[in-house]
Amino acid sequence: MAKINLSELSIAKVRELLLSGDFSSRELVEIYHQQIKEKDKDIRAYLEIFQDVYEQAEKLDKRVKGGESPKELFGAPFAVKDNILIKDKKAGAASRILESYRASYDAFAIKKLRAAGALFLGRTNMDEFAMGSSCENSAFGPTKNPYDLERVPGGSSGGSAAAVAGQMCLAALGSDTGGSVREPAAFCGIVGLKPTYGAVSRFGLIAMASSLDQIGPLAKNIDDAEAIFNVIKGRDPKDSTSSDYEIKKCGAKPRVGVPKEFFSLKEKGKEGIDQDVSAAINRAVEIFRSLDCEVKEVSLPSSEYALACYYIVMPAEVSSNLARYDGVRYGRRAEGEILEEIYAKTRGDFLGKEARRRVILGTYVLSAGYYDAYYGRAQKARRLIKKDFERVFEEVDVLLSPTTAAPAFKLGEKAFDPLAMYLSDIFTVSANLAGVPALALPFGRTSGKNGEKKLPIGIQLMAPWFYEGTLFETGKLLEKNI
Amino acid sequence: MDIQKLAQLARIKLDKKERESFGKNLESVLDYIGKLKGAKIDNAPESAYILAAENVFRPDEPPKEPFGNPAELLEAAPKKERGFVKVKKIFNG
Repeated sequence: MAKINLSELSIAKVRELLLSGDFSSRELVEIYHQQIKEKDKDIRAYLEIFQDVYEQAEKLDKRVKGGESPKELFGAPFAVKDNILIKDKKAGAASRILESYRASYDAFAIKKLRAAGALFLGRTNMDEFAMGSSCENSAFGPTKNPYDLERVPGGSSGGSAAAVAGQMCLAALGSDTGGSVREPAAFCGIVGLKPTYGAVSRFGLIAMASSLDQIGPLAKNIDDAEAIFNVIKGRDPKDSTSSDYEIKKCGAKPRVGVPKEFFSLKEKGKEGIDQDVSAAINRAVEIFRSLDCEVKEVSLPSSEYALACYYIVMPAEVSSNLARYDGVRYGRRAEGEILEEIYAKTRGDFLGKEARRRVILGTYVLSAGYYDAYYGRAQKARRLIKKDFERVFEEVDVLLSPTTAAPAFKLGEKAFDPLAMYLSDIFTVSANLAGVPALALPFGRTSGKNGEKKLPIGIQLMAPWFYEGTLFETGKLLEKNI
Repeated sequence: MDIQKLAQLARIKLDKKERESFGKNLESVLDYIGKLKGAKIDNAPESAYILAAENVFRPDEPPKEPFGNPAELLEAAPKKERGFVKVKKIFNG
């Protein structure tokens, strides 16, 4: 069996290799399993490796040899975030409260991937119930950043991002509620897409905040992210917020807007953006200008309130969505004399700290007497945030910004200060609040000052609702010219 | 912020230490999100919906495919008896 350089693989390349007969799907899976064996003891991206994937690979090989025409994602080995259901496999959103739960059905996105010929290598670590920006809130220990094992991979889809960056899968699925696909993509130097709200069905995604959640691909390059998105998108009768809107793109020379408020953000006394991240943005602007694309400053005045709005709306929805974890129909159940005691002990003992914190915060902002001051106002702010995007997208086709203010931080650096952790989301939450699609793409490394490792930098593109095509085309322009 | 009362509403048992530390964490978060109090947003309509969507109905007939297998779904319950999910009594006495 010839050797494969995993870092050179892409969805198209895998398809080519498998069709040429150089490799079988089964052999490819073996190679990934070997890589996982070597790397994952340090990176800890996976919670479980599925052993039946060999059987699935063999079945796939047999069908194609038998004359079945191979589909778009033929033989592509995927890692799947622990909050996306795969029938009969364990799924637990990295929480103790769902420790023994086995999925009774496939998520819509999983069904679509399967039908397209994809294989599932295993389920990946995440912040519990998708609450976090570092993977340190997992009930099963943190995942490490493949570029520097003392740093976080980002979160909440940290396991998926680390698996892709560590060459332990070809691509992965994650979910994004306030940046949980894009931030780890940026920290791990890979591509991450948060689709337009409604583009991908949430059926089979363990819900965090239902008006913000979207499933998105994490991949090594934009073509792969696009191929995966095209497979998983579409109307699903089981998610009435999903739709079949036509995916559009702008003309060949995108008009680029740079939101000025993002560059003057000062939170908690910390000055804006890391030098290397700024330099990356400037380089991107130069590239656009050299390609004769207009680049101009635009204004999103309500972005000042986006993070505050998010940390009201999201916990409110979380408090509602996590009410189902009561020990009655699934998951673990604590002992007690009467039902109310069982609820309180089950949730008190088995929900993690951050999950309990956010449920309580959500309960507060929705409670009588406080609803108008917090949740009511947040809903208004959200309307204004959306309006800002509507207005700006009349002048430009795509927005350019950092994904995060700085590269991956060290494990433990923000773990004890919830507010500091929340501030990492500052550039990503607006897209979820407004529902627009956003793409994180890798754009070089930090300069490695003071002998530090050179860390990936990710920049972010945002486009109007259902204009993922713009994200892919504009992203490829940058990818080509980096 | 009455953490004890909120914990009860949310049906989450917290010990004394956690009540205190949560109280501190949440005060600082509330402080931050309190920014919205000063925002000029009084004239904006509330927005519960991101996409202008219409409610979706299906015909009033049995669905074409069943959602799931009741026996499979019941598998997940921690305690069951004769096809029912089993729970403790709701009231004492």
